[in-house]
Amino acid sequence: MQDIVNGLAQGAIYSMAGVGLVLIFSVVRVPNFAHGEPLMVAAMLPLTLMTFYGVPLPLALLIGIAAATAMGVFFSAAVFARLSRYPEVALLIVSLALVVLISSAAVMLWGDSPRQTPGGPDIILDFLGARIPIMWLVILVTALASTIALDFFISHTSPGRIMRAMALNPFAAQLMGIPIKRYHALAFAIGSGLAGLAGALFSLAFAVQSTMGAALALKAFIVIIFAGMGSIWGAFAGGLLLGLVESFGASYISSGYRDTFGFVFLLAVLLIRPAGLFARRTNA
Amino acid sequence: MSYMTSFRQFAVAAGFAAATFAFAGTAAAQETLTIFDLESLTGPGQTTGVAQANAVQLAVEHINAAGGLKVGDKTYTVELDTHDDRSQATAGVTAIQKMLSYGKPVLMVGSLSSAVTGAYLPIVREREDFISIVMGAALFFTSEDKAIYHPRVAVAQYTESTVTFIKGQEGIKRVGIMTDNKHGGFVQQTPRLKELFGEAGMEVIGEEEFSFGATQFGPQLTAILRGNPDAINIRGYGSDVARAIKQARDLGYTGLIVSSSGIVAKDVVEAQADAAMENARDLFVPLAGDLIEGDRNADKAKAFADAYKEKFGEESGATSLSAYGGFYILARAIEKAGTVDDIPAIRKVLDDITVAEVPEIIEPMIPQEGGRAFREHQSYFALVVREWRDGRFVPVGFVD
Repeated sequence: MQDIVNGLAQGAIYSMAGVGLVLIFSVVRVPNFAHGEPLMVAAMLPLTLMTFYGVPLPLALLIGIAAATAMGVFFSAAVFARLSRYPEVALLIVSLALVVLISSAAVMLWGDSPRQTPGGPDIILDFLGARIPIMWLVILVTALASTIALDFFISHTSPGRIMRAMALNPFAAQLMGIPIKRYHALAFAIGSGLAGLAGALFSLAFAVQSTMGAALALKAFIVIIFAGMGSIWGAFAGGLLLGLVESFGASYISSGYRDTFGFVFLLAVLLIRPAGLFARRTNA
Repeated sequence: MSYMTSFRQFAVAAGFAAATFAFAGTAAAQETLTIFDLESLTGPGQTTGVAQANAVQLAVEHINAAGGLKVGDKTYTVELDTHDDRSQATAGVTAIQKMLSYGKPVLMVGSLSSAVTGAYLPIVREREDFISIVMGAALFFTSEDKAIYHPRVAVAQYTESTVTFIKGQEGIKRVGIMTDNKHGGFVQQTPRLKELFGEAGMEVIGEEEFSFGATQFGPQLTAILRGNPDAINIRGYGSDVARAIKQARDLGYTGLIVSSSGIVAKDVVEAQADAAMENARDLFVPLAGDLIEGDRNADKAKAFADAYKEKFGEESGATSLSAYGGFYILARAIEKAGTVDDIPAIRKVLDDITVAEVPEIIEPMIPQEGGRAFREHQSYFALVVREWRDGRFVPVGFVD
């Protein structure tokens, strides 16, 4: 049971990062490997604000999430919007360059040592023999709630429907007079905001560090590839599944190969079901 | 020697040096001796690495303030050329290659991690133009590692002391082991550790690993806890150990946790592990505070701690005392050899140098045959057992 709890807690973070990435990838068509950087900023900034400036925890978390959202808008407006005529490979390289630049700056600013944001609740629940820190539960519930909210937004609001149209056929959407760049920025803002939410909560449950973004972005890509590109609920379920695979693999096979289990699972899924596990379900 | 006398000596030496320099306008300019310093200033090892580099810098300042190195009929001002290995083996090797590329004999200090040291060891171990005073890294060295001198505890000492300590606790029959898989020294010692636990009548119920700088230990701890251990031995760096202890307590484990990490208060604070430290013990080479509180070389330790805090505004780190003493060992060997570039001559002095010849050594170094500081390039130390009380680590005993 404890392995399930461990896996779900970690998987919920992957879910939130994956769901945001699905939105960006579907709407903007940018393989945004810098997606982990807003997550990292939202994790590190509250720590700094609380430790050095005495900012109250809720406000510090909100500032962190806002900064992550602003980063997403910046990525869209200042970087990818200006490079939209270039092929996806070029955008991929640009996103990798952003990872290097931002994480280097973050190391200079914050150093590289992992640390945890103080002030999180210390309550631990016992459930069927497993120990569940309350923050893990908060992370899981938040991941579920944010996925429901995003699904509602995409399915039942006008901007959401426009984004779906853009995801289905960006050229036709443009011909219909949709202000593409504005919706690209909105997709980046929502996706990065979700990553920020994940980062802020993550920092209350586990130690975070300024170089964590790249690894989490890679995990988010694994999630959306094996879940099936474009599936919001697929990304949510895929994140949890990846967390469980890593947890059981590390606990029962070898803790030394923890990060490789996700890739092995990805390969297995792609061989058996190339379109992804949840590709035919809800699409953005 | 009282603390005040010791501190006064620091002050007098510094003041005398300053006055000498101020009034020596007509004197011939001193030559400069560059000593390379390989440190982990960034990356996961930076907490310890920066404190180690600071201690090296402090030793250099004290040596220069006391007039510099007197080598034959020349006096040298010591200058450091510091390289950051970023806590990465590849960056460490690149730095070593750069030092060697100058085509001159290399005198080097530093080296925090076993991974970095183990990576550059094959490049330098047989060289006749290289000396590395390894101030961190718990690897075990021998005289076959010609270029390396290790005035720092070797991990083999931790292994034996850990088993001795755990064996001395009541009711410990089942032990779990968690090891940093990038820590070459601990990995090297794992078979020996298991063997010693077996010989002591204890069963190893789980053996897990984690990576240097890891933030989550849930799966490993869950696997170990399935074996219902009486004690868990976590082997890695302090910051990782603090996070692992916190997560072990979060998972409901309340038993004994023993580490050999040099964990410091900053590690506990950054991991938010304050409440988790009960029933955790760390066996390590004593830090300055341990020596002061445990009353071993207390005067020297206090003088060092105060000088360090005055200069850097914080407490020294896990390897700071080794760095300070290690630098003085090299300095004394250079002076005694009467040369700055005849590496074999300096090595010969290092082979025979005694603990008594380097009074600046603050750690409780155990003199080897003939009072020597090294036995086959390796020094040995008394270890301290520390526990966390009221927001800080306090010594609760020594293992000689």
